[in-house]
Amino acid sequence: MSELTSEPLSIAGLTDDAADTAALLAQVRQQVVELLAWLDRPPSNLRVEAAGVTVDIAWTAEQAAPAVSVASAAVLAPVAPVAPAPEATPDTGEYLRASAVGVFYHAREPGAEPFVSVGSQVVAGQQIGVIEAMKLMIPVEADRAGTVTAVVKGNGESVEFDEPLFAIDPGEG
Amino acid sequence: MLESVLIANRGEIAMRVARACRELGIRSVAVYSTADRDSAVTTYADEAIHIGPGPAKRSYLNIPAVIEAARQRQVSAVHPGYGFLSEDPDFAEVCENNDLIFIGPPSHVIARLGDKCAARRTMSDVGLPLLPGSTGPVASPADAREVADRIGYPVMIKAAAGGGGRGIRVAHDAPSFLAAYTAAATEAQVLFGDPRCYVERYVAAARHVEVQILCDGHGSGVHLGVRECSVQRRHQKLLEESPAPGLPASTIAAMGECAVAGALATGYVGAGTFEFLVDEHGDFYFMEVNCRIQVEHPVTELVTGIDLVQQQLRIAAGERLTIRQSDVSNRGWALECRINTEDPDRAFVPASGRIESFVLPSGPFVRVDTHGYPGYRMPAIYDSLLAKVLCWGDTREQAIARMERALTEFRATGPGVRTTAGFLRRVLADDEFRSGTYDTGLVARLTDNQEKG
Repeated sequence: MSELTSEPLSIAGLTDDAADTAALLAQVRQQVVELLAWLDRPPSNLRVEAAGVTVDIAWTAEQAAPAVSVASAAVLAPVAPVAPAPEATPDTGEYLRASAVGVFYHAREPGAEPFVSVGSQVVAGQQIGVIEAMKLMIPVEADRAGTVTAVVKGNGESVEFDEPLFAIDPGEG
Repeated sequence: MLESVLIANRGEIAMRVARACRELGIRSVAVYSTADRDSAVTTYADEAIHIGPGPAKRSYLNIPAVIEAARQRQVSAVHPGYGFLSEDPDFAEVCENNDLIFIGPPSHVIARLGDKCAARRTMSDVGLPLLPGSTGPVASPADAREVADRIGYPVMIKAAAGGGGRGIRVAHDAPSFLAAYTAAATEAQVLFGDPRCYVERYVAAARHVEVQILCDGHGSGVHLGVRECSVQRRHQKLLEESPAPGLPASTIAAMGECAVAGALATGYVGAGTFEFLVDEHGDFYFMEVNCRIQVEHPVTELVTGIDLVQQQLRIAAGERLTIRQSDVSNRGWALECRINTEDPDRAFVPASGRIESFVLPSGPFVRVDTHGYPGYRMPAIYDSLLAKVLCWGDTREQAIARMERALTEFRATGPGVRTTAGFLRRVLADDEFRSGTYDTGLVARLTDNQEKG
């Protein structure tokens, strides 16, 4: 990515065709930036071919943490409709942030047990919350293994894009 | 009046809408992407909400995110600005279905007018003059060729779903037709996901003149005169003026009547623009309708004294138009220069960056619409429009002299930042421009001369 963005396009004294090529390149670059924004972790290598449409993305072994999805059992446990944020800023760990603007829920459905609470151990890729945007349920997944040290937003609370939802302390690793 | 408005846009137009809201006592809610965290509107508007990352597809074009933001902040209406979701009938419909007033025409009107072929057919039925060509999309290259042969060369091939000057090709003669048609259809498929094209006569010395209209939701409509938008580079407007130089008042009145008739026939509501092509004989032909407020709307505001964005908000609130056609008069002359962060010496490539020094023109009869400020980092992933400089004058000459003065006062500098201000001064100094006899070929002639030395 750094190679793509730091390499200035050569464009001095362009003909019309060359200007079209420059526009095409700009488009390709934009698409690559968008693609990268979609990825949940930065790749070690990215290859793009325009004409035959090839996209090659590679991660190093340590980057590619296994994505294990552990669904929490839905058991009877009442959940307050809109609970205030239970805890303030945690001491350790990093925030997991909202991937969309919407309503944040701790549990799969009203009345269900929360996916996690403070002290829960999570693995990368585990669903730990949900954001509803226009009736669309977007899972919130842990981006790393560790211990949940704070649930920053209350159940049923409105969240903006990129707002902190959970703090997860990766611990010793 | 509306209680609150979500501004589903960015840049200078977001500021423009927020200002109109402030003047009318309407609560304004700005949306922003991560790349626009530091934009002026996030602090100017009453509220701001972060709706997604930089890429527009995940923020300004993300319908669920925008609707969620509107729901969270409990707004009564959504102003889409221009570009982004402003002419997306799906977005207008989602607003309608979520008890949000979409500030623009009803979704079915946007859908009908957004299809260039359907719009042509509709306006032809209403009696608006059209350039000779196919009334609908052509079914095959052979059909297209037949139309071209019938109307005579040169012809223009345009994408039915097109806009912004994209998906357009010119065929100067029969042998080059197939290649031009294929190129237009391919581009249309790639850009708009719809390969349908139509064919019409190509006018080389054409002028692009458009009519501003306002329609309320009660069946009334007026036109607010014309804007001359022929100073274009590859179909992108650089400078606009009102009225159109050399166009007789009778022609302007006739175009205005056509536009209002066309708008009322389709059930249009809100502010809109009817684009016309004016040929070398002064005859005009309907091109398309823009179902939104336009970048160049302030030139109309300056010569008519009517605040178009306030009118949009009033119409959206269900008010009746209080302006009658006989109330509308043009006073003097107005010019708008679009200052883009582009490098005119390098084929107008985007040249954005951190704007360290930012000095705006001021003084008599000058208006500047901008979202910039000293220290503003202009994001490279969006449109390069930084500021619109407008000047009013009693006469065209006076307006031009004021604009020349204003542009010399303008400064936007920083590492990697270049603007079109200098190029616009060359346009203003050009004999063809000053004489008011220019057409859409003006900028190409200017840049060609530059290359030759």
